[in-house]
Amino acid sequence: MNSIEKQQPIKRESLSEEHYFQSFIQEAHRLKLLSEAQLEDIQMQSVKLLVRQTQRYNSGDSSSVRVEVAQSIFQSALYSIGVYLKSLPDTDMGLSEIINTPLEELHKKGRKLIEKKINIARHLLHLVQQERIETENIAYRDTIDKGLSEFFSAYDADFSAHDTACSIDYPLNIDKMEMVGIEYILDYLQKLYWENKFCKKFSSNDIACVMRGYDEKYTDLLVNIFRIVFTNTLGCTLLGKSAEGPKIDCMDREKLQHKLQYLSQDQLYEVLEAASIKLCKQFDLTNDFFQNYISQTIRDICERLNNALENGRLESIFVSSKEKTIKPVIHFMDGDKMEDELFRKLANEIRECRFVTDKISIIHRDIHSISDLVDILEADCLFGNEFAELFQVLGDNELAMLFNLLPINKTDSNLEESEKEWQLKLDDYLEGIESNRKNNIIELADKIEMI
Amino acid sequence: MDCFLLITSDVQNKLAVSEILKCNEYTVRFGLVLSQVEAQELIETRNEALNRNGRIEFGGGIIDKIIKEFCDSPFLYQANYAETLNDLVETFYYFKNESQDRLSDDELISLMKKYFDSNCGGSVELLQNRELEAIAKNIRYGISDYEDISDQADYFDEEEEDL
Repeated sequence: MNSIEKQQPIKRESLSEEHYFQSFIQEAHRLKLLSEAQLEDIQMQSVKLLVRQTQRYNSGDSSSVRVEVAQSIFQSALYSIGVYLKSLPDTDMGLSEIINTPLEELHKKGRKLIEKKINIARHLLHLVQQERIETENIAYRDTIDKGLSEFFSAYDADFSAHDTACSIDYPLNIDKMEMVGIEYILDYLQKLYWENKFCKKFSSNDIACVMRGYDEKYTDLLVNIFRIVFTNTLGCTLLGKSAEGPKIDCMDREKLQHKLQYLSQDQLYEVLEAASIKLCKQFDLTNDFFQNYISQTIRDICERLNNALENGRLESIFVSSKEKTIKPVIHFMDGDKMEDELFRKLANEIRECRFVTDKISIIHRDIHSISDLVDILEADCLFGNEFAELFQVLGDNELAMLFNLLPINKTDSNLEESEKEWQLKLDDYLEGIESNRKNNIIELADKIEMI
Repeated sequence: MDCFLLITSDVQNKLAVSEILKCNEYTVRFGLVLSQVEAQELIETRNEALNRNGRIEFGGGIIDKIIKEFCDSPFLYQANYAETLNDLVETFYYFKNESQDRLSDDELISLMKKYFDSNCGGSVELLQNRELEAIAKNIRYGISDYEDISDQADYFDEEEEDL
């Protein structure tokens, strides 16, 4: 039987997540659900609330505060009220609470709810840390180990409840960035928990292989692991090979292209939704929160998949798994770094040389480590063509080690001028040499590992 | 944050003026009295100082506290009373910020009084630029015994001698 839903004059979705209370009042006033007198009364009450909170903040020691502190205290108090109002079943009830209950009372209720949310979030963090996936991705590890814990030690629920003071680098599949404070952290942790729960259905090696297929350097990337693993698993389910893990190859992609390319976007969505339901059942992940999260994910995947099918570029959606390749490694132990005083003398000596040949012979004679060589290159000892002349006398090993120090992104504006100069010169030099030798140097550079 | 405008409303200013004038009952025994106009000026000075230092004040404020603390100073007399109070109010808010709010109102006022009567010989300028500056610096540097400004005082003396 279809249930009849009551029409709410204030639409929940039209209200701001961050400034819920303020947007609620604005909307209610716009729709004339709040009279001028009621609005004025709310303003007066909010000023009283601010005064009371500021006195608590100063614990009676000070009668004045900085404006930005007062603003933060005020925002925090209104945020707490917003948290309580959001917990009510509908906006009608919220409006009646605003009209009939003193603001101070609403603030107290919100503050209590925030405390509850903090406790739930703490518990969730504990579960997330326990259920984490084994991965080399730095952002994932740092966020779970440090970033999220920092929040709980820094969070001030009384006077900065709206603040999300922590460093969360790891991106979620679907991140509600418009939320702030404990609400954001709770939402983040809930999603991360379920993402982990899904990914834990696969071995860490399976996950690493898929991630490597996405990008060889996935460990350094800010990329969501769940999204890639889930999409590949969905692809496997569509092909009926779900038991084998999230592995997809060229043949699989061809089959998928053949199977999906003539479907309309609605049909594609239905197919994906059916596959995702099957997948969740198979993995016994039928929780409402997760189901809802998956249906949002499917909407996003459907759009991207539609584009990829049109262009025949399914590899951007379903990535191939890639086993770790073990490459031969050359271990290099750098020589001892020179004493600062000695280095300064040597740099001065080089600077005073009139001919580049003299400079090069001093470098040859006295520099015995790559780090000292780099320091010399950055110490205004060589100018213009002198760099190329030095590179000419260096062996392939030395050039390979210097090559490893070149930035991946050549237009990196964070580099110092002195750093940029030798790197540009080395780049030019390598462009100019014979291609066989250049390839040899690049190959060597790939193999060298500093110890 | 429009509601902040309500704090400095006329009604509140009038209330503050009457609070200041009430202090006359206490300070008259030291031969110090403020007129209605002078009290009004003090409120204006406070509002300007709050504005200039990016601060906001609730409740009674600190003017009556300053008056009651300073009225027995040997360096205050009727002719310089109102002007000095204006300077002290400005100094107070400036150093509230400079000390990063780590001094309570009472603590800052009693430090101001202590040095105003002793080292500074009744000069608000010296109080601002020497003693309070040194204390605020100590606080910012995280020195627990921030009141110990003997080194800085020597340093300033030497500087003065050099000049």
